[in-house]
Amino acid sequence: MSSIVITSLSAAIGLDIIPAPDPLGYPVPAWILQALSYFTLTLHLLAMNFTIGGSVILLWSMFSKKPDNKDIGRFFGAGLPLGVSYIVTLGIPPLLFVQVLYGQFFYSSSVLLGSFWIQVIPVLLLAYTGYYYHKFLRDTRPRLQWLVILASLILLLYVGYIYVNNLTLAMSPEKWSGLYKAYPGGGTLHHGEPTIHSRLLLFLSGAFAVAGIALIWRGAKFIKWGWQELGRKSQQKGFKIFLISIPIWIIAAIGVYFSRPDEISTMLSLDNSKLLLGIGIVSAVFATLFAFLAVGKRGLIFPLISSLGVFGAVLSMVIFRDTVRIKELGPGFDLSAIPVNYQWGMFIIFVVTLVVGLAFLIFTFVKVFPALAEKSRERLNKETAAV
Amino acid sequence: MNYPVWDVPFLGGGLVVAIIAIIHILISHLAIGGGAFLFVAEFWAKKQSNGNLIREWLHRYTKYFLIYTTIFGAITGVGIWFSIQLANPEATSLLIHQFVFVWATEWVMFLGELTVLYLYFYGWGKNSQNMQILLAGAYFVIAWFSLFLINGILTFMLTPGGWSLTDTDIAAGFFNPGFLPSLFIRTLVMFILGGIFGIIVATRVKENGEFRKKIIYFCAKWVIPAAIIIPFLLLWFWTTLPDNAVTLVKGGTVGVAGGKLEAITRYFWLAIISGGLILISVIVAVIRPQAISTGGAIAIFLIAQFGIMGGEFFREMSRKPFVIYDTLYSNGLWKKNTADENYMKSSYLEKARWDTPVEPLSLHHGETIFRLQCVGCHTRDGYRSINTRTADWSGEFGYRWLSTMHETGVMPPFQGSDEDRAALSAYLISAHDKTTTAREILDSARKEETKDTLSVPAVPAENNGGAK
Repeated sequence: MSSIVITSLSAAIGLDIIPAPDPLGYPVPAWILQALSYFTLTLHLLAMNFTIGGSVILLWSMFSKKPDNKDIGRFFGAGLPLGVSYIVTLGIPPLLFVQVLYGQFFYSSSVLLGSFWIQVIPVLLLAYTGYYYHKFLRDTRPRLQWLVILASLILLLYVGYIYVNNLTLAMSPEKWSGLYKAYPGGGTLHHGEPTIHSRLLLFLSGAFAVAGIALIWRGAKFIKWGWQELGRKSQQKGFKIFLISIPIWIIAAIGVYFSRPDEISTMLSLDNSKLLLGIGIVSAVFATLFAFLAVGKRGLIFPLISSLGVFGAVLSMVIFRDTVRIKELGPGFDLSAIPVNYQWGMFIIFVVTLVVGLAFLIFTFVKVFPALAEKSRERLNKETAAV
Repeated sequence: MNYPVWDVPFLGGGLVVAIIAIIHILISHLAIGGGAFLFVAEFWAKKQSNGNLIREWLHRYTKYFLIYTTIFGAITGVGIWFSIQLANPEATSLLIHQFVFVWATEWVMFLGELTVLYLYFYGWGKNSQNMQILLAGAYFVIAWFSLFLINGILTFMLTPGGWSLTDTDIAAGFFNPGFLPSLFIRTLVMFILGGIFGIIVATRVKENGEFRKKIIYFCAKWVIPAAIIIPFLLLWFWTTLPDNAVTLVKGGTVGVAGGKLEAITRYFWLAIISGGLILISVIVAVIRPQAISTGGAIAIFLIAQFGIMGGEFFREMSRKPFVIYDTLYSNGLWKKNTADENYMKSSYLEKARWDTPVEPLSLHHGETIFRLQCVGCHTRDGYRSINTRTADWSGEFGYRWLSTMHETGVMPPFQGSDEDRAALSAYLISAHDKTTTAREILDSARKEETKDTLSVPAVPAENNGGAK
């Protein structure tokens, strides 16, 4: 009886357009897919935050005449191509799992925005090329370099903007029919969605925190090498940069709230939401506190706790976002209603590969790190001598 | 039709996928073959008297290799994913739901190969030679396993083997009949690309002639044996192809287009000829190492791009009219539904979720059917132009042809009522200023059918068995 009511209600408000879920169902229980999606999406967002924050700092450093700031700029200039590389690589699994969990919503919204969604590829290609251009030719034509990094940054932000458009439209099937009639070629964005800009800002609010922590780690390494002054300066700068994230986060959170005050209030009143919000705030406070405590110290434990704090804050935001999504897609959508056709064998192969793969990467990284550090120390020595 | 349609003017969604895919496949194969190349070259350099010079050349190789494969390879790889979900969400959904953990395992390989490549490149000059050899070897093994995994999914689409919608055993689908020959062919193609890339970098070396000759000899060993073995593996691959594809390629000059070389045959020959040209060019480079310029070496690489294009288009076209062989047609029709005549002949728009309200038998009706059933493969006036293909049509011919188009072997069955068929035919001929309306087409067809029924001779009483 209730399903008949839901069906007729759906038809009345145009929701009968939602495609049927894939007949193959889920290969493992939904919670496993969700957990994998949360974990990998958090890593993806951290890589994104590093790159966006690092790009802004790099742009600022290019204006500065102080050698310390130039040095920080060089650090980010060298690291940003790797940042983009890991944004892309770590972006693959969450996109994979979102297609399994919410494919019928995600594919539909992607096609509705098709002309924009496909732009992600050439735009990302240009941005990535720009960062490599700067890395390998950074000492030539400073004005052009500045413009290239600015362009790459804007292009990355544009990619983020398209993503937010798509993922918010996926949660708004009541708008699909109208958009499809108006733009059958997929030439539209999710106009009229009030939360888009503040959502984007919220996802980017960790940019300076992550970039700041990167400098704190770097400072700890310098202190370990006996370069007390350089290390302390790097960490102080890192902490100041970290602090910029706090007002941005507050502005973004207020922005999201006031874009849909009633709905956000309802979401926040859910028990899970309160818990997630609490964990997020506590994690952010820990991250800030330990970033402060890390300044001037050679040990890695404080930067590590601070990093885990940022990870926890972003993770709680990611889980909160998914909770909101499930709530918004209800009552016609229920993850537990999708059949599960177990593929435990393949899942175990994946888990074993992941564990062995990560162990191997950690092992090789630990082995190679002294060589990398030595190379970096020699380069810095040379540059300091030149200054 | 479960999903909305991505209507890309002039190119069509399928061609967007193809353009991104052929660029990606060249780079991704190079990314793996280059790994094997680096591994062996590291060993080789260790044994040579001028090992340092060789390692300098290898460093340059790695720099170009890293930039090219990590920027263009990674982004176009994601690009294939973006474009297939737009061009055919239904098929993408099936593949993702069936193989999500194969893809997730492949992602672990991506993460591994990327990180190891960075450790190899950035540790250059400081890592011990043994560590560099270990990293190059690890990079190749990890990258090759990413091929192993994606190869299972790619070949599944053409030869799903024991897999079916009622028996979704992942191993049966993954280790399908095309799996092994395709894996071997792709592995050899990778070695060829690794060698050609080495020749390009060798042409940038400003050292004496002997050194360059040595490098080119080394690179040629990656190309020539592989290029000679591949045709034999192709014969093996040929035996796994669906009968339909074999018939089409063999039909060659006859085919459905009548008198023209079939597209599938053209691409088949493009791949073969490109392979031959690469072999000849590299043999020339071995004979006259000083004669080959960077431009010439890049030209060999571009020929390889055409070869990849031929091979991949051939593979895609072999699947016609399916997107997942024997399971899902390219127009979103599930094969399991074709046996149900009522389903096939009932109003199409009533079944489609993403229809817009139309006036029956109007041009808009025809256009809507066109968008939902045809734009997956055809454009109006660009790639696989429907206008070109229907230039000689009359409305009545189109109406009849649509009901039998699946007999060509490359088109899926038409889904919909007589009204849908008439509306589509009227829409298609309207592009050629023919003004026959769908109503006229339908009336004329029905009159013909009535005439046919009436003209069927009655069975004479004397031939009627026991009535005599």
